Amino acid sequence: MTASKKVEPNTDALNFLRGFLHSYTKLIEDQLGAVQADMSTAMGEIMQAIMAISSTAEEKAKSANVIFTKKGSDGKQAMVREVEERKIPTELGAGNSCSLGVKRMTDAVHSVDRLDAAIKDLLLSIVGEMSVEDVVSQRFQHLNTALSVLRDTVCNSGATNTSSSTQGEFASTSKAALDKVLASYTMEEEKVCFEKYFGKPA
Amino acid sequence: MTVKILIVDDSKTIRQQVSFTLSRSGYVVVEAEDGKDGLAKLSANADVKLIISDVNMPNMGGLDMIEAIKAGGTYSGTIVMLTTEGSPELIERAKAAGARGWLVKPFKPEQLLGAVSKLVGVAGAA
Repeated sequence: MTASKKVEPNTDALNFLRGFLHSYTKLIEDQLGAVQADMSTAMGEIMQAIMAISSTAEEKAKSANVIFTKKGSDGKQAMVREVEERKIPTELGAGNSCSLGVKRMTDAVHSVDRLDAAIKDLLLSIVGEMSVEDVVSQRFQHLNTALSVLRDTVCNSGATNTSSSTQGEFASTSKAALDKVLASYTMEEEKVCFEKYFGKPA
Repeated sequence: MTVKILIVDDSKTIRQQVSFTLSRSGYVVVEAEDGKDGLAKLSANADVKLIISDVNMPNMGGLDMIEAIKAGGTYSGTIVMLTTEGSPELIERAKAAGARGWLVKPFKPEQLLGAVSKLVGVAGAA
């Protein structure tokens, strides 16, 4: 008859595993942090470019409109005077042909004005789409929190460091970890995903 | 008359995006990077008609800020939250502190403009 022999945990292996998990989670955190920083920098630069495009479009439209407004309330009359005073060459010379030239210039100025509005509408829709950056950024932070909780739980908690820990102690430690992760979530989508794996919190 | 709006968010990009969206419609926008800064900016801009605030921010969060504003008792404008949060408890807390609306990120510019126009009752510039 052979007596049952208690298997002692291999503490070297456990320590190795903890060390591995510590470095591994740190590695992923760093990589996620770098991706998040890159994304924020890129979004910031895109936003600066959008503001610059918007300002330029506005300035061009203003410059185009100055020609209408600086010499009188009637845009076309003002344009005629502008053409005459500045001796702006028109397509066919003087007289009626001047009106034709003015009409074309007027149309061009109106086009610039409309283009400014169209550009700004487009920029506005881009800006709206870019607001997702803040959401993505927060999700990166929550991933980092989850990794950090995993590291603390596996590498530092009393329950997982003691070979004689009971299942109840492990369950309690796991619950505390999950509570921390769930508390870090701000979006409903994240909470739904959590519940898919761990159920609704009590 | 112009309508002044205070945007409080720790994300510079979000502040710029909200500012860009609103200023295009004639609103004057003041930016603050957290709740503490929000209180300071509000104190320096007594004519702010609307506050748009994030919830989770360093130093002082949005809910603590609006509770402080309510406790101060001098602000008569409107407060709306713009956040990724959707927790009913937080929404209730915000309502209790005087928030009139809850917008969820990512925002659509037309929705933001619609909500702002409705809340302040006028377009940006009269």
